[in-house]
Amino acid sequence: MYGKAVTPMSARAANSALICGTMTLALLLGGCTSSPEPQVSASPPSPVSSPSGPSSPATSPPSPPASSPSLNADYALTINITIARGKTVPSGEKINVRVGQKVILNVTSDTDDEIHAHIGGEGYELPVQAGTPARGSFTLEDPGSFEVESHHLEKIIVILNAR
Amino acid sequence: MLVPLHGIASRHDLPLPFSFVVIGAVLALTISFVILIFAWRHPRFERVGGHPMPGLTAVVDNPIVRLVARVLVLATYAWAGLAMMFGQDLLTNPIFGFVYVWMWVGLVPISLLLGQFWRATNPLRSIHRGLCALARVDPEQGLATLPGWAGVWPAAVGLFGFGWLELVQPDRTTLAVLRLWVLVWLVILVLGAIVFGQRWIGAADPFEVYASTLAQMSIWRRVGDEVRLVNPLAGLNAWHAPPGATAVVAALLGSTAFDSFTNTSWWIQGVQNSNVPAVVWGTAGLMAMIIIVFVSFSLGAAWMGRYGDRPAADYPRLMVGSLLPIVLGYIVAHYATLLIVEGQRTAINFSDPLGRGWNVFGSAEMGVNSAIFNHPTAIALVQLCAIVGGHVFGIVCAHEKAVALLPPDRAVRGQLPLLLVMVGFTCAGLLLLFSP
Repeated sequence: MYGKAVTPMSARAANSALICGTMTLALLLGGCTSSPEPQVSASPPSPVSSPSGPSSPATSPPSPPASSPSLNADYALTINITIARGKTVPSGEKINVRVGQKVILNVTSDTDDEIHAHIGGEGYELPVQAGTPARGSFTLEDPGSFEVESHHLEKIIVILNAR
Repeated sequence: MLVPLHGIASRHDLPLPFSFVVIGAVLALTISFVILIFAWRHPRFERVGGHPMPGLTAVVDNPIVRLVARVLVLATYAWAGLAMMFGQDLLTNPIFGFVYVWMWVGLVPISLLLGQFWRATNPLRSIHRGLCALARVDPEQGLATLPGWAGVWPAAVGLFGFGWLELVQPDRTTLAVLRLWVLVWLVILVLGAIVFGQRWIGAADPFEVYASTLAQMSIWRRVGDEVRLVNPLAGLNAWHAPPGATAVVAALLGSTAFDSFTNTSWWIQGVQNSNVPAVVWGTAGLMAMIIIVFVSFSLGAAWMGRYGDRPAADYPRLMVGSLLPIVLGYIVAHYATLLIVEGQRTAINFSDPLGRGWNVFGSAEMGVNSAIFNHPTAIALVQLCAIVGGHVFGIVCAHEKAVALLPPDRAVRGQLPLLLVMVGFTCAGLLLLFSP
């Protein structure tokens, strides 16, 4: 869950868990509201190391201020990704984006990896070299729920819910 | 094309809006109690009724029609088998969509629209029948008799196996893994049919039991020797669930719920950052989900034993039909877009099973129409209606059974725990689609 969406959803999730109080499933789900904040923020410009990333720091639109969520198609959404010791941060977070909004990935990793974004069509691929920050971007053209994964670790980094 | 980590689709349904979850839960709870308190007090569907269809019966019982249907289905399987044995180990190989979409999801509309079609055309039965014809033995005759209590228990185990393959098995979209599973399935089913006779296939084939169970909700039902057009509620009410049917239904509901559950951030994060291998988590989670469904439903139904004149252990099997509409609602809500979008992709790839640029059925040049994804609100509405609609039908079925099985003055009290369990399943289904 991301940004301002966290508080109202968790309160309502608790209510709903009461509605179906008999259900262990629902109670288990309540645990999800304790997940940490995703690493989504305005980021300092960094060198473009992705051959497929069309953006450069000088021309990319400004990132949203910290108080506003990602749901504004005029702003790019920057996701900072750290891969270290076989784990990814963030790990399985769900992030809301607008259809047409630019998504920028800033990746640092301690091993060579490939970031795969299954965004429909052929998908988007960002190669990452150990120790070298990588940056790439793509735009979600259609609504849906899409996974961004570390290909070598076979782990889901974020799930983008595009509306 | 990048291969997704899990499953075959790279694009998934958006989470159900939370307002829909609340609306659905309130509707489910309200309608349940309205039905419980105000509905009929005497059984309404004691007889199936319906309209006899003598012409249709003659057509479906015609030996040539049956033979043609069997040959067509067998040929479709042989074509898929060709792709599996000699095709490329890529997602463009139609075998993956054939197994995970056409078979697993496609059998549902087939069974609802065509009734017991799968039982009549199951390629395993055709293979077994062919072997028996070669050996000049009666396909009904085996070397041993399968005990009656076995019911469909073997298929419940098989459905757990398929759920495991679909949701837990690493590299499930590679040919080596799929070939092994298909081989095991063929050997167990065909050898078992030789040992126990044809009855084994009806007891152990997960796909046939899945199809024939869901076909209980079809508008077509065979009564005696004739096919009738029936009210699905009356048809479902007439179902005599075999031993193990509760486990079959729990496996269907539990594995569908687990599919959604593995998509929550809570689960992904927990499993990915755990030192315990993901396979262990997946196996335990899938089993736990099925057991939760099985135990909670069995306890809710067994409560009726306090008010009726049968042993408590009889009631889960008598009542299990009322879970089928909920299962159907879950399946529609979870897999409808998968069937529509990935089903098309499978149809396209089916023209070129070996990846050599063939266009045998003329479908290879078609594009996948995924426009349905551009209407997320409509998808969410269909999901909500499927879950709540399935719940309402389930509650109506449970009420009908309860007034038939319990004395009129005690029917309401007796079915209350089961009703709460069903409301719980429905709320959990909605919450899982909200997928936090």
